[in-house]
Amino acid sequence: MTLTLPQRNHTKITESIPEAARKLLREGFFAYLGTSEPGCEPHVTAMFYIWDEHENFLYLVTSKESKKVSNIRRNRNVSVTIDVRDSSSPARNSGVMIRGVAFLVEMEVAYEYLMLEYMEKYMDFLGTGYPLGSRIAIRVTPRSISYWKGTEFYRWKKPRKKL
Amino acid sequence: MNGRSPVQDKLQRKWIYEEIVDYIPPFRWLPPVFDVIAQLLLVETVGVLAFIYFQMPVEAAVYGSLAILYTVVWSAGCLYVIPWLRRLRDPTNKLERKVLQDYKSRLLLDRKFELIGGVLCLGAVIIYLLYDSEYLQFFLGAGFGNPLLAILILVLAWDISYRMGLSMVTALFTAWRSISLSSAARKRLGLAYTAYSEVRTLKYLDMINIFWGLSALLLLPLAMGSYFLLLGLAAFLVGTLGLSTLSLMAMETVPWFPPDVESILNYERFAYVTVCSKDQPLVTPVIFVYDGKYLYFATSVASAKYRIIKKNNKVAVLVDMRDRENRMKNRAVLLRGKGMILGEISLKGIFKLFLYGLWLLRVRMLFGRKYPQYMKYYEEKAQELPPAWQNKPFLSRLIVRVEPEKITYWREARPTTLRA
Repeated sequence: MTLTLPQRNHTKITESIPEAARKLLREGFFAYLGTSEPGCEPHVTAMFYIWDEHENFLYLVTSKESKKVSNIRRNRNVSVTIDVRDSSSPARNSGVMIRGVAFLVEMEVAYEYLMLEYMEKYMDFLGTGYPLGSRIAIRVTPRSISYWKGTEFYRWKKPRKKL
Repeated sequence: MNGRSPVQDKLQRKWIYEEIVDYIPPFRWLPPVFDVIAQLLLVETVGVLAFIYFQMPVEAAVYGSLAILYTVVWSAGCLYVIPWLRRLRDPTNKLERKVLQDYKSRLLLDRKFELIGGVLCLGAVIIYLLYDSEYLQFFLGAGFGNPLLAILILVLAWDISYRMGLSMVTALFTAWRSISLSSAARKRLGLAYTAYSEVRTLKYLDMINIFWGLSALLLLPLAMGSYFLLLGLAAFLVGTLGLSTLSLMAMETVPWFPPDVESILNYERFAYVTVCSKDQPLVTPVIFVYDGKYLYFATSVASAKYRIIKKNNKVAVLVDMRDRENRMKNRAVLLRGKGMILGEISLKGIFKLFLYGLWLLRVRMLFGRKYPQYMKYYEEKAQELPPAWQNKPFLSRLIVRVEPEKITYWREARPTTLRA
């Protein structure tokens, strides 16, 4: 055993969002949204989400008074993780972590078809009487997406806009 | 939820000593710190005057001063500890609340219990002094038999007896409280519990109790002269120290969180750790163990978590129970607090290993028990894994210990904030 530190970068940089990551985003059920309070104090909650395949946006739905919304009003940088967990072997764990910027979107303004999709995805789970009125949508624009499956790591970064 | 307790609502009753400090002139004008100093100066002046006037032996002056010092140290402790006890907030668990309220009312509202120890102690000392007057004669010298001096001695004897008796009674009640609190805590249901900050306060007070008891060692020279007094002092020391230690050990068994939270922390297998650097949060899933107090997760030296926690140790950990079918089965606990990295190879890291090394072995064992397949996988595939994943303690894997400060518990998306 030698005292060498492991290499830091064995992450593969990809040109586009990996297809496996897209699949995971489509099929996942819970998203974990990390926000930060003033003073860089982290906060994390489990949420429902919709992945917008065409625009590469992630929509999360929450109540207007929740802590994460007040955090996002102050600091728009967020991180979202969606993963498949397997307690029998670490090699079968895979997940997507998105780092990006959040925008708050009123439900009335949010695209109708997305909301339909949202209701369809979570209808069985939420049951009737879901208070849509007090909800607000959070749109996350990814700045970078990390994807891992077992020991392999991939990372996609949003290309900078050319001026 | 944490309303004012009946103890506070009733007319506040204080210990005799505290009332003296509150109402008798030289003390009532002074803040608590000066009260104690004023008491020391006042009693010591009287003592020194008596020493000069009655030409007592030097031992009498020295030992007498030590006895006065004991009363003063005790008083300082009393003025410090009792307000803490009064400020204690109520647990949300009914049984525990009852235990604490009984304890407070016995100790703070019942003058009978306050005085019984002192009276017994004083009685024993007076009977002994009447029986064995040579002991007193040696100390008092020429002044033996003077009524004024007798009163002075009596006052000092009462001062000491009152304090020793009260210490003994307090230690007894404290031990009783801790044991019943610990058994009440095991009968918790749902979200009922005693906030850990309160348990910590009680533990801290028990620790002070030990030092309080130890301060009676100042009386040792005075007691050396007689077999009976020495025996009494030894019994007192063994009694208070034993009971305080017992109480401290019983408090150690009180769980930190309500059972709903504990069950999630014990049985769920994944946690989501969030760290934050430069206002950019980062969420990653980890495997973790919970040892009843802290939450531990492993990370690697190559990971971003490690880099960030080194700079900003604020961590939020979400542990959740998730079920797509049944909404009622979705629960989550969010622990927020400070993370401490253990197992680093650095000067500070090695010092921490020295402090927590044995506990880390236990944590490793807990990991092995909770994730047998994971540990097996790490062992078997050691060669194929990227270096950062290899489970070499200290070289590539580190343990992060999270000390919870704020707890939020969700049940069907309804948050409840609990105090840590």
